[in-house]
Amino acid sequence: MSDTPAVRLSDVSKSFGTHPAVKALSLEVPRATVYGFLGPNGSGKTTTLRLILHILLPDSGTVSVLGASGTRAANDRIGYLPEERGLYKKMEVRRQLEYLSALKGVPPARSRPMITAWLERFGLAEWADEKVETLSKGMCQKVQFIAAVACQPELVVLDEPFSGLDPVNQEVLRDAILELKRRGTTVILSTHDMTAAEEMCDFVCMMNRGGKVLDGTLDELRRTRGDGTVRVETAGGAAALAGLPGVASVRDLGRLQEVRVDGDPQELLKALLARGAVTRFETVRPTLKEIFLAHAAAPMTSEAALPRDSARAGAP
Amino acid sequence: MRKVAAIAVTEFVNTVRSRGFLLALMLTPVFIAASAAVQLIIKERVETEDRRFAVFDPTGRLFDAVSKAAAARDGTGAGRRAPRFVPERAPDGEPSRVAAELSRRVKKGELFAFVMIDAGVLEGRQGAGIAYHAQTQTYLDLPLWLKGALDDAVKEARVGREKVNAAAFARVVKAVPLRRLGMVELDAAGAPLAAPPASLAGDFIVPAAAMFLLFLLVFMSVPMLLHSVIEEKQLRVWEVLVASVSPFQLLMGKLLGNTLVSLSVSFFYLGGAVALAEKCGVGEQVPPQLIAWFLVFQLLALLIYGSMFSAIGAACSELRDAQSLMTPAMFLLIAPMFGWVAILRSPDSSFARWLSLFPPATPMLMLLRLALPPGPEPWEVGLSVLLTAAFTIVCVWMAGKIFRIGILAQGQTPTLRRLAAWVLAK
Repeated sequence: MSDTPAVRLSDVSKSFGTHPAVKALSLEVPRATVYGFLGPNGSGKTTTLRLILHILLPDSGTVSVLGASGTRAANDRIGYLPEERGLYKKMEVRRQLEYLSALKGVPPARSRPMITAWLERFGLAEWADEKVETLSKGMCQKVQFIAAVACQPELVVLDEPFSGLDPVNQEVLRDAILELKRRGTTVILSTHDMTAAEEMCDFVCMMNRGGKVLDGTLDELRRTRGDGTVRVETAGGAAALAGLPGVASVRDLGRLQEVRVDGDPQELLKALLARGAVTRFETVRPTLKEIFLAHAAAPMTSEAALPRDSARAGAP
Repeated sequence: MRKVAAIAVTEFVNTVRSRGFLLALMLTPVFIAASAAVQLIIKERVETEDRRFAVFDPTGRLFDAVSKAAAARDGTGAGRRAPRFVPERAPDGEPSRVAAELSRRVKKGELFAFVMIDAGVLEGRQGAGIAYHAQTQTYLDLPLWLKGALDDAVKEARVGREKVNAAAFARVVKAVPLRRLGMVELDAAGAPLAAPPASLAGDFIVPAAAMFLLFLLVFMSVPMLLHSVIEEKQLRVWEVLVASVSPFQLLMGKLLGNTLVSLSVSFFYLGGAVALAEKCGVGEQVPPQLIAWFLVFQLLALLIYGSMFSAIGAACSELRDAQSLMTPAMFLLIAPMFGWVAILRSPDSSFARWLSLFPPATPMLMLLRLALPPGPEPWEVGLSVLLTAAFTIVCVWMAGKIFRIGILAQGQTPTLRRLAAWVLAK
């Protein structure tokens, strides 16, 4: 496997008219990993994916994908599931999948076995010769996923792959994505679903307002961004925390208080013990959602991102 | 190139397998034949009522001649499928009063028309003539027939008045027959051959049919491209497509697919036309080189107008938005057709030459000139193909530029100015 990252974006910006969609974005997607783009609507995720696919060209900066820089040369090795799903309604499922694979340079004779295998895996084999218009929305979504992976791409870009799927099919799709990763495929995932990202992603890049808020492995994000929060249970409740040094903020959960500590938590523990009995004192590992919420509203600066070397440190 | 071919083949297969295409393919000639048949049937059915008309004849000599001519006309069978002409003598009286009374009868439906003959018509008096009065002036059969019948009657009466020998006069005024013939060619031995007679098929039907068939094929094909591109945008398929192929490859694939469809339709229609010409004994009027030129100009026209309509489709998110941009493209396609009658009458005029060298008009009008004997000069044909090919390249290039940006644009109402900006964009 090549040492070069699957995707490298260097200082990439893209505007539509006066609206900046992506601002000076730099990142690297390591090979054979699941890389998640997280962020609210309008944060620039889809534009970034389109830049990676060369559907859009950047105003400035460079986009390098699977070793090809600034060209569509690698597009045949990329599978794409766009957020706005689209299939020809009047075409049969198998013929459509063979056509879309042919556009990736894979002739029907080669794509057919893969398509058959994926259709069977997703329980769609009996629908292979039916027109797409006869399929349910969930089935269409699975067909669209097959269209993205049937050409056996090295990189798969999935924009909101779970939206519109029921929990059972979400699980089927999740397993399929993880299997792709096991086979060595790099998967880029864009989603609002922090839980799914937490379960599947090796790396995440949080975006907001066109810029990168954070990126790195999940552990790094938790370690770097999550410390400083403790949960405390004392006989005095929230009143016991009043006026203590290092307490930045207190979230009163009733029996428990969640305290954001500005400084060394051990100093806070000492101060609390000095006031009375402490029945519980634990460091909180924040969820991805909590990290995101804590940072999404903050002004974006280049310091917000982890150093690249740090982000790469946990690559498998 | 393989991807372009894959798109073209899929477009072709999707189109020819659709029920709408098969229906259009079969029903278009049926509709054309049916409308022609209906017109003929209606004409026969509509024109069967007697045309009664009154003749005011102060000379006292012309009414009988008109009656005789009308009876003779019916006797020859001319009136069998057309209405009979039934004259009646108008009452004597002051002409303006008589005319007023006859007008009343026409309005009541008792008469179709009436004729007022001036008293001095036999003497050739200055200003004396014949007036034909009718409410329906668009029906020309009766006045044209009356003119001939009264002309003959007046001449005969004048001959009698002038005491000229009627037989000698008939010999004097006997018309000289004129036959319309083609060129005299020499046989292998250098002996002149008989000139071929002028042929309605070769001089009118084949050239006009070839031009209108080409127009029809282009007119039927290119809007399908526009619909197909807009449909891809509405179905959101475009994003998957442009993640796999460049917008230009997508445009070329669609253009070639559409061209294949149209050429396949030509195969059926041209085959049918040639078979029909053979059956009617005018097969030699449809030479193979004319069919070859038909296909060349069809290809060029499809690429020119196909690229224009694809670009419009790419720029629009909805068909409604496309209407305003389609108007100038449709005008370019249709406007040259207004010159076809002038070219038919004078295919070697300067007007015909220059109009057929104007690239948007060339496919239809140069084909018309090629089908009309003696045909344009070879340099004109060569120049027209060169100019049209160059124009085609420019159209496809511009469409590619519009397509590249337009296919990604959503929710913007396109304008010609915006399209121009897209063409000029890097």
